[in-house]
Order: sequence, then structure tokens, then C-alpha cells
Amino acid sequence: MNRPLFKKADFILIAAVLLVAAALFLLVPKERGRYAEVYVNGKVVATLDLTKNTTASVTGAPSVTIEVKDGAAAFVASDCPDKVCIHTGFVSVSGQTAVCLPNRVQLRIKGGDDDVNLDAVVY
Amino acid sequence: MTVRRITSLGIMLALIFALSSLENALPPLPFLPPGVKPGLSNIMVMYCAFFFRKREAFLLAFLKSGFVLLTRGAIAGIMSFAGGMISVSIITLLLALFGERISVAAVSVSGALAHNFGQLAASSLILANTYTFWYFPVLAVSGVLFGIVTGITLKALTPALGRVLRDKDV
Amino acid sequence: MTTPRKLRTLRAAVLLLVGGFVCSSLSACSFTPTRYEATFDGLFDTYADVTVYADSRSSADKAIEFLHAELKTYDRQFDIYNNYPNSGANNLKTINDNAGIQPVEVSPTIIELLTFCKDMYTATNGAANAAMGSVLSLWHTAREYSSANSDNAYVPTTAELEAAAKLTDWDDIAIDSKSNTVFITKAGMSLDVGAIAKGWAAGRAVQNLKAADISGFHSLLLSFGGNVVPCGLPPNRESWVVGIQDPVVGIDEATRGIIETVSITNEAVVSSGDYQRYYTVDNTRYNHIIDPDTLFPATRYAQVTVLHPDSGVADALSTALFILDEENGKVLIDKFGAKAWYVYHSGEIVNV
Repeated sequence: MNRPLFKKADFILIAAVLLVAAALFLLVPKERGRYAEVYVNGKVVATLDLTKNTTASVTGAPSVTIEVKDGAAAFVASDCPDKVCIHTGFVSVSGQTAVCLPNRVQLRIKGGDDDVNLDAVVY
Repeated sequence: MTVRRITSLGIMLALIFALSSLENALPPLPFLPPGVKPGLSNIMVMYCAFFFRKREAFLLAFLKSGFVLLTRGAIAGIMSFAGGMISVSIITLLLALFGERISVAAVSVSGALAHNFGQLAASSLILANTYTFWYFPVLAVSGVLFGIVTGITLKALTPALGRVLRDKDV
Repeated sequence: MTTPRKLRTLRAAVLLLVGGFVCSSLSACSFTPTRYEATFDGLFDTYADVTVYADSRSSADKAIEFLHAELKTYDRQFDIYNNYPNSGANNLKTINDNAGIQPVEVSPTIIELLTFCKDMYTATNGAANAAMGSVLSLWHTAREYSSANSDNAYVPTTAELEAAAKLTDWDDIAIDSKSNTVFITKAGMSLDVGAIAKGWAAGRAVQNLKAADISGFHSLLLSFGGNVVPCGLPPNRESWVVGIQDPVVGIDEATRGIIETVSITNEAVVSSGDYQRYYTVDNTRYNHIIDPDTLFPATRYAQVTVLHPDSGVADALSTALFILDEENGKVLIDKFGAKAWYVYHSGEIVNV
């Protein structure tokens, strides 16, 4: 094929993309999460305190189980075919997510100074 | 549609199925959200876009997502469709705009980035929020990386593929 | 078809875009105090979560250490189960042990706390009674035993409860602030400040922290066993945001959602609920908040949350309101200028 593999302009393109990605990455504060929000079909069904270890199945998606351990949360059981959710492992940084698409369940870590975060919870 | 063309498309499709299955059998890559794969089947989609007709590239991408739908289920099929369609659209658009002057790497990287973006968009729709876009920086970097890898692989394989598929001059 | 010039223009545009992005993101880094977190436990039988905003780790640690030391002092002094001979002074257990025997000399802090408890007893018409130790200890013993021996779980008898109820009058406790002595004049009577002490201690500790004026320390939020007390405000924000956890029974405790989010500037938030400490006998749940009138656990609500600038008042009110009906509760809420949320077992939420 006459088409070249690389051209000068490519490096500009690649550099631009990497710069934007780096900027976006650095812009978001990497705070340790305080809570894990569990969404089913886009709605919050539970807000888990990451300082309290627990294992529970998700309200509204009982075949999915989530565990909170040592300040992080993860999917530990699910009936989905690919188990991508489980392979994501434990997430603990504010903004991080783990999702189980077939079950429409999403785990999102909250904390730090993002919008509508909770500084504390009374129980 | 000549017999040779149909045969060539069939071979490309088979290669896509094989590459897709191979990728899926790989363990999740570290540092990346699981589900992100190198996108090896894009090699064939790009080859088709370069050397066959644009609409055939669309057909391949479409059939690939059908294959994923049948073998891995509805959600995986939707994700493959979203990523694949946006990716092939960008690839064919770039080829239409720039023709021979755009490099393989540029097409490949753009296709990979578009694929990742499409999948993020699809997952956002499924989950009804945009929180998964938190992963965009990571996917941008992996898109660039894997785009370069598949581009290099494509350029290297072109002579061999050309001997089997024989459409345009290689 | 694009010409080389168009390509150059495109390149320039991309560079400009990226450059602008990078510049704006760099300017977003301003010098605000950093957020630090700490957790400590073992105090007042619960754990404390502290969120600190300070200029450095060491300033944050100084503030956290100060708070910890303060709370530890109060924990020791208000303990009714253990004596601490090493710290030298007498504590509440000492007072209880000498009920009907002799006055006990204690620290001014204890005098202050007990005076506060007595005032709250009067103000709440007896609903918040820290002198109800005789009744509470019957339930405490029953709860401890029944939790360990569920086959023999039991409930205190009405007879013993009524006998104990005779020993709950604050008039039978002589507090002498001149000599710093406390004398429980009736044997068998005892102090149990559990419903008020945490709030009072947290509020006092934060007050002292403010006065200590630690350099580099900006603000802090103490979350202490269901009591949330603020010290200052988080940087660049107008308030702290506190969530009230849904106490709905029947769902696993850890997966309850947040039913209400309150913004506080200087108010303490205290919650009382029937799911914190309880035990079960024959499928009936017995919680730890005892109604002085019935001598049995109060079951009107699942949870009551109170907002008030004084953490001790908030704590006392959360107990009192948990026991009283809404009408009598409203009287107290108005008297103290507090805010409250009632959550009924049905899930209904009432905000007053």
C-alpha cells in the first residue's frame, strides 16, 4: 500500500489527545472515597459507608452482591455472563465506578469535594 | 457483487470473528477497566475500508456486533454495535476527507478512540447517567496505544492479506 | 479536498485548543487547605470519624490529637462501668458506687455536665433523665445477657422496674459546685448519662479546639457515633452537608439509603434510633431508649434527628423527642429553637 504508516501530523494528533487526557486526569482530584453509591437503572438505591465493612445484595437486583472492605467497594457476585463487574475489583477513589451493565447496576465512589457529597452521615 | 468479493468479505468476517473471540478469551488487562480490549478486529474493518468499498466496512462492523450479540448476549452486542458503528463511521469519514494522504496510524488511532467513546456513550445510556465518563482519560490513552498497535499490525499484514483477499492492488 | 493550508490551519486550531485547555486547567489549582481524614475508636463505646481542613498534615494531626485527647478525658470521667485509678480523679462510676454512702469529690467538668443534665431533665419534663441509671441498668443487664444467651432472653419484670423507678428523682442528688462534690443520697440510685454525654463531650471538645487556635488548622467535622459537630466551615463552601441515614427496618443495615440531606453551618446533628442497640425476645425488639413513664423502650418512631447549635442540647433532645409524641415534642422544639426529623416505622418522614 502506498499509504504511509505515520506522518508528521500524526504526532501532533497523538500529542494533543494525550495532553487532553492528562489534563482531564489531573483536573479531577484523586480523593479517597467516603461513600459508595449503588445505582440501579440510574437511581440510587443505597449509599454505603466505606468505613463499615459489609456484604449485601443489591435492592432491586438481588442476583448482584456488593462488598465493602477496608474503604473500598466491589462487585463480588453476579449472574451476568461476562463478570466484567467482578473483574473490575475494588474501587476506592472518588469518581471511580464499577458497573454491571446486564443488571443495570453501577457502583460509584463518592467523597471529596464533588457535588452533593456528604461530609458525614448520622444514623 | 462478484463471487470473489463475497468470498473475500466472508474471509474477512471469519477473521473478525476469530480475532474477536481471541480477544475475549484474554484476561482483563491491568490498569484498564475490564472490558477494554485491543480491538484486533478493527484491523480487518480498516483493511476493508482501505481496499474494498466503504459500505462493506459498515457491513462487517454490523455483522460483527451481530456475532457478539449471538455469542455474548444483548448488552455485549449493544456495546459492540455502538463502538463499532461510530468507529467505522469515523474511519470512512476520514478516508473520504483525506483520501490517500492520511496515514494508517491516524486512521487507526481515530477509529480506536471513536470506538471507546462510542462504548462509553452506550454504557451511559444503559445506566442512565454519565458517571462512566470518569474513565475517559484512561480510555483515551489506551485508544492511542492500541490504535498504534493495530495500525502497525495492519501495515505489516497487508501484503499477506492482499494475497488472500485480492481486491485492489497492494 | 483539503489543501496544505487548510491542514496548517487545522493544526494551529488544535494546538490553540489544547494550549487553552492546559492553561485553564493549571489556573484551576489554587491554594486551598487540604482535606485530611482520621478515625479513632474506643471512646464512648463507639468510633469517631474526623474530617479536617488544614494547611498541612502536621496541623491536621495536631487538631485531631487535641480532639482525641479531649474526648478521651471526657470518656474516662463519664464512664459508669470502669474506674481509672491512674488518672487520679473520681469519675461517674465512683459517684454511683458511693450512692447512699457519701459525697464524692469530682472535677469541675463533671459538675458542669451533671448540672447540664439536671437542667435538661427539667426542661424536657423528665423525658431526658440522666439519673435513671437504676432502670437503665436493669435493661442493660437484660440486653447483655440476652444477646449472649438468646434461648434464655428475658425482659426485666414490671416489679423490679417499678422499684427502680423510685430511684430516679434528681432531687435525691446533691450537687455542690462550691466543693465540687456530688452525693447520690439514695442507695441503688445511679447516674447514666449515655443519652447526653456524647453530645455534651463532642460540643465541649470542639469548643476547646476552637479556643486552642492551632496554627494551620482551618475547620473540622466530627462525626461521633451518631453525633455530628462542626468546627468552622469547609473552605470555599457555605456549609457542611450531612446525610440522615434511612432507618427503615427490614433492609440490611449497611444498604440503607440517605433519606435527607441537611446543610449545617454551626449546628450539631444528633440522631436517635431504635436500631442502634437492641435485643430480641420472642420476635419483639427491645431498643435502648427507655421511656420514663412506661419503663419500657420507646417505640413510637424508628428514628429522630435533631439540629441545634448546642451539641449537648441536640443529644438530650433527640432522646426526649424519641420518647414524646409529636405534640409534646413540638413544645420542646420551639422552646429550644431546634429542628427535628421524625421517621416512623412506616417510613413516613415528618420535618418540624
